[in-house]
Amino acid sequence: MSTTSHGDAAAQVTDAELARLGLAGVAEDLARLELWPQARHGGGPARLLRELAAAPNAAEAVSALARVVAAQPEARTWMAATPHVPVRVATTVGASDALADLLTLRERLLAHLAGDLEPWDVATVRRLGAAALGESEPEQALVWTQREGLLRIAARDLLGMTDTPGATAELSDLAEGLITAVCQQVAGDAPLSVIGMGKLGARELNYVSDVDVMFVTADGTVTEATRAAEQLLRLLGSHTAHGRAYEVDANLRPEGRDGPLVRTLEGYARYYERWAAQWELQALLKARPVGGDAELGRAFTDLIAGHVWPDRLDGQRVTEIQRMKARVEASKSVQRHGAREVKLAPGGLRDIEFAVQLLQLVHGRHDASLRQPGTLDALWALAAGGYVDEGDAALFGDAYQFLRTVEHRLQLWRLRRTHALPGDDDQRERIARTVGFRDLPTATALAQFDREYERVQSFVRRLHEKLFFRPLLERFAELTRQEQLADTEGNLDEQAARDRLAALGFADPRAAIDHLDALASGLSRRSRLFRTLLPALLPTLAGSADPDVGLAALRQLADRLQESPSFLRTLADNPPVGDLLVGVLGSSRVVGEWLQRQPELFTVLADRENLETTQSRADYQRLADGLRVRGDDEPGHSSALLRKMKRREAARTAVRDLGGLADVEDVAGELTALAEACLDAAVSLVVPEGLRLAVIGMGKLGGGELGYASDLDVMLVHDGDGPTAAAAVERLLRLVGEITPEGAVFEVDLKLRPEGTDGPLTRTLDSYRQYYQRWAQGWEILALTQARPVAGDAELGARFAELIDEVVYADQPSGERLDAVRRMKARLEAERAGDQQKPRRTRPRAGAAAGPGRHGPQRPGAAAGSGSRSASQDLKLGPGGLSDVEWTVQLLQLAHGGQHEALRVPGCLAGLDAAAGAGLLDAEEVEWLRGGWRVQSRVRNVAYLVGLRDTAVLPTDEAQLQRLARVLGYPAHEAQSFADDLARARRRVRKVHERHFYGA
Amino acid sequence: MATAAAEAVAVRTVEEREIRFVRLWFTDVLGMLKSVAVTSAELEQAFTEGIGFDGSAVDGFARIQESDMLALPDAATFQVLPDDSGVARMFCDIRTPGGEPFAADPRQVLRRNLSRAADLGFTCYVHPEMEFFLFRGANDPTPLDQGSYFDLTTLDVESDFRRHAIQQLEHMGISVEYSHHEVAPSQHEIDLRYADALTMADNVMTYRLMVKETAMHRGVHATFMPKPLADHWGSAMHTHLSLFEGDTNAFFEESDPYRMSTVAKQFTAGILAHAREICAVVCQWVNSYKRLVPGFEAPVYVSWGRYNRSSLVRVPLYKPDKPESARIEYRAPDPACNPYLAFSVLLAAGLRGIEKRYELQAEAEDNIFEMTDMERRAAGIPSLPKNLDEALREMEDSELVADALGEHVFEFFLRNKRVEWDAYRAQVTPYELERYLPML
Repeated sequence: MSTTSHGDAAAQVTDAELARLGLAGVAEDLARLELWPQARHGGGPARLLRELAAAPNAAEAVSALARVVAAQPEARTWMAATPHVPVRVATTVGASDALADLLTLRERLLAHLAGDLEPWDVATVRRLGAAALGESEPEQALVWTQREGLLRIAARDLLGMTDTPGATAELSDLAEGLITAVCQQVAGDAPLSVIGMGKLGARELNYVSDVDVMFVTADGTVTEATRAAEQLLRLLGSHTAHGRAYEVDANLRPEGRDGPLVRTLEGYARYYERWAAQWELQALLKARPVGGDAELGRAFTDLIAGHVWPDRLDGQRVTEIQRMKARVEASKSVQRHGAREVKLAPGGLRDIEFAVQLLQLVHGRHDASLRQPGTLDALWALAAGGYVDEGDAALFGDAYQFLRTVEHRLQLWRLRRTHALPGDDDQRERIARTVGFRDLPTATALAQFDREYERVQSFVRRLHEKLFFRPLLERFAELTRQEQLADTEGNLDEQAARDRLAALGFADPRAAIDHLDALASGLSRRSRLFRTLLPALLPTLAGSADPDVGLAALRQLADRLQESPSFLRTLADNPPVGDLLVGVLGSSRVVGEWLQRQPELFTVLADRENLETTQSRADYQRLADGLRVRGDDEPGHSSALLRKMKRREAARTAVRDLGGLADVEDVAGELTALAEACLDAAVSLVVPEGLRLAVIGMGKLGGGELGYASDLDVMLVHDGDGPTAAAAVERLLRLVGEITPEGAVFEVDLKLRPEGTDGPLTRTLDSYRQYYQRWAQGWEILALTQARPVAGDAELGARFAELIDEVVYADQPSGERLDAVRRMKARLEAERAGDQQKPRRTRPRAGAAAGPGRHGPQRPGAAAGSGSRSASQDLKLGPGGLSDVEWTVQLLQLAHGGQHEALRVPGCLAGLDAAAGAGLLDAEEVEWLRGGWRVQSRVRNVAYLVGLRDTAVLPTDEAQLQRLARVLGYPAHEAQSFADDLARARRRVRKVHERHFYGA
Repeated sequence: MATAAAEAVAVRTVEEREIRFVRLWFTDVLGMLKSVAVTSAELEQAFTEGIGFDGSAVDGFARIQESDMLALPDAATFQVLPDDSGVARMFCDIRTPGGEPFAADPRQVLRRNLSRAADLGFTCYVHPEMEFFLFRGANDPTPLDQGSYFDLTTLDVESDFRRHAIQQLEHMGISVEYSHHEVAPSQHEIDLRYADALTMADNVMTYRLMVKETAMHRGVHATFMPKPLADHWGSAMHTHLSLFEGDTNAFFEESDPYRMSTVAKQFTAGILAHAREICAVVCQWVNSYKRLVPGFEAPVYVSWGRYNRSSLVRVPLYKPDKPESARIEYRAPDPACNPYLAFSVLLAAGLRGIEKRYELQAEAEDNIFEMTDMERRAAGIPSLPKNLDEALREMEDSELVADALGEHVFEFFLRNKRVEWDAYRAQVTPYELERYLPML
């Protein structure tokens, strides 16, 4: 006893060391392997045990090894004699449960791991395959040959004898060798060539991949060759007791599963000449002969070369390429969900493959060096040709290899075609270890792996910037235009740049290059900055509703602001600002024009914190008060400051709107609060000592639901000398409504006042009372449901509010009055319906209840094309339009406000909530009206920002409709979905309207 | 891929068989076949760019946006028309000038509904039994015979007619299941072999044309009018429906007493629950409702059963050895419907039943025609709409139909049918004259 314990101390494995090696849990397995407790005494067992402990997932590896050895008693002899064999076995089976199963089943497999493990070339596999075909059950024998090859490759891969690209090539050779062998056997007299497609063609096969093939034969032997091909598919693809050799897929052939399995060269030529779709030609990029008649295979290769790369990039091809790009982007929009998908997640393998193929298609027509079947080879070729940055290419190559390695390790475990990392930490840890991560004192293998995986994915997600756009800008580096044209080395030439911009979504690539040139050429600080910034900005711009307009606007803005140090500094220091800027420019002509006229608005975009807060009336009031104090002695100055403030704050709201930071209610609330603050400031500028004046908001202003294009419906009430008050109001209107280069503060509309345009501009409270009690018509009372003091003397405003209560809600309205309202609405509808061809006349006074309806201000550049104004396209007055919602709610308020005090609120949405609370509408009806109001208000707002002249009517021009839909968030070419959604919302509004307004 | 090859076949056939014209067919919202002819030289252009036409001239195609439309032939539907005419036809999909599939194209409507079914993992198969009458002329509803169901002794011209019509159909690649003389005089039925819903809708359009043309060549008039003779049975288009998951019939369940799977029951429940609101689409004419009256084995009440031939849905006995033939038979449609829209709403109603897990009501065992109104009400058996007006009112309130058809088609259909009903309402019929003139 004591002698053993005094043996070579270093060679002995103690209990403590066993635990440290992570093998304490598998002591029983070690015992079965006769390594423990033997290793306590040092010697061979101790050495072997330590070597095993170095395997990834050592404990699992030992268990699996024990399982294999138990099933293969002969293996025991290797244990002591050739210690490298058990280590190889353990390393392999520790990473693959499925291979462990196979090794327990079949001793012959184990022998491979004892041998030299040199890679099998195609010829070797072919020989082995031929032997397998001679056996009594050839399908089964082929499966075993395939598994033997796979085991060897897996072992080489896991032992570091080959890398991931090497393993994919060896796996491809294995498939090729077996196909060649089978082909020889089945071909008979008929010449038959097997064309490898997809991953096989590109020599990028996974451990578990479909094997994609097509078949070619000569004239007159199609029938025989077809029989042979079917036999080949059967031999390789038949299920046996131990699975099948390969899942062979011949559906990439012309016409897919409907097409003949085998064609002649001539047949393929005819098909590719006339009928092949873009993606089919693209698939040919990876085609190569992998078996059978070599001459036929070569002829096929020559044949297709002419078809993959046409001389001209026609419209259809560009569309197809853009569709591919959209697919890349669609995966980008899938947020972090599914990040564990190695292949399809945003930043996954598919993104890299698509990006590389896209660039090959765009540039491969002119540059034969890019016509590489493999992803990595193509990437290197793109870098060598200057189509992508070399550094970026190297980094993407690394990312691609890392992700492929992860994918391989995933598949190896059970030999299943899986592409998703397990969510379970333990299982993911096993993957982490087989990929090569080890626990370190600072971080576990799993933590390191997770971090690296995330880093790679987020890097790959920037591929648009890096691979697509950066090289476009590189060409401007320190070169003049002339030099660029002369430059052929290392940079994209003019044609290549144009092709790429077209593929990425610019309708006018020539103009785009001009703009980029203006922004990024030369040695100035500005151009250096834009060369760095643009690659990151262009993807956003390219994905916007109108990339061409956006880029032009960016250039103009940069020209205007080139002297402004803060512009460049902000863009440089704060990349999200640039992103927001180009997003806004690419969707809104109007904001673009505002920025041109008032470049200092740019600071609005730069203040993220400010953009993320909803401003209240008090916030705007503070701003307005500040301006007033500054400009006190000079009214003209004050009004100019007010205009600037209004424009700046409206722009702020528009940016929030376009940037998804404010919903339609937020926008309405801010625009209303801004209007109130401006009116209030204006009132205090014009009202002399001794006069009290209050502004009563009506329509959308009263309702607190302004849009960008809304004007302000108001009435004025005063207390004091009449002529003085009238003069003050005139000053007020001038101050607020005056048109200047910055535009008016607001357009103010007094038409809703008693007696309309014939009435005095302002009245006393008593005068209002008298009027409403004696003369008011039904619609005027209805309009008062939206009245609300919004500015000026608060006490006077409050008294007006009491008057409203009295006039509108004191008595139950007579049925007559309600009927009059209904008749008025019906008449308006009839007029609107009969109005289709004529230009719309000025708003009937009764439009009161529905708020203002004037067109937005005329703007240069606003496209024409209003055409006929069908009522069904009228967002305001057409059936199911906004006024249907508004009249419904207001009628309910009028009819029931007496009993239900909660109903006495201005505002359509507030009124809806109150009506729901009072049980006047059911939940679905409220939802339909609210939905109809929200969607149509938003469409009107966006229409204004996009630059449509008339925001009340949907554009009839297809392109305008498309753009509108894009900015509203619909994908490209989905204008009909937008129209359908809108029609649904309107139908539902109309249904509720007829039910509750007309009492249908 | 299949498209490109099918295009190749079409072009080759046109060359080889010396086809001079190719008719490009599409269907308007009301189910009328429209045709644009192109010369063989224009064929390739038609495949790549489509053929432009003015959408505002087609019922239901007018849009506020540009009225130009493109007809893109579906090469898989290429067929040389029979009779050595040197003319072929293809069905078309309609696109907007911007290249989007046009939402109001009935084919597109059906495609949209089929893709919803596909999202749930189903393909839909349909097999209609289409009935029609042969009369002396379009203005002369005199039957050619007094024969009846399975009557083999009728006039030669008629069995010859059916034989010829079947030949024509088979020539067009449409398989016929069987054919026979129907119950009413001069009434016939030719059943098409089941196919996927889109193919079948195309086939129904072809069928109607072939039958009418065959009749015309023989100097008689074929009509799919639902109820031409007040005292006889009307013409129905009993529609057999089934859903498949891959190669498996999802309607079959060995262990169920009815051999109906849960899917089949929920689908049936959906069709019954929405029967009243989809009725205007499957029975779209004023005359359709003259057929849906008691006494002629036409469905009048919303019920289902295995044996009862007056049920709205009949579940044929499933043969245990032929699970693939499990199906339900929906008996309301008439052959004058728009098959694309009819299949769309049927599918939508059935799928709604599956999605919302509807419970299937009990089978109607008694003859519901013998029940009193109150008994039916107590048994929870509603009636189908009694006329187009009632059907339209039901449809107007149906979110399901709006969703299935899309807002454009939904709105147009209602508007158009409202006009039809109003025009009908203003008629003074021979019935009224005969009855009231002497009396009042």
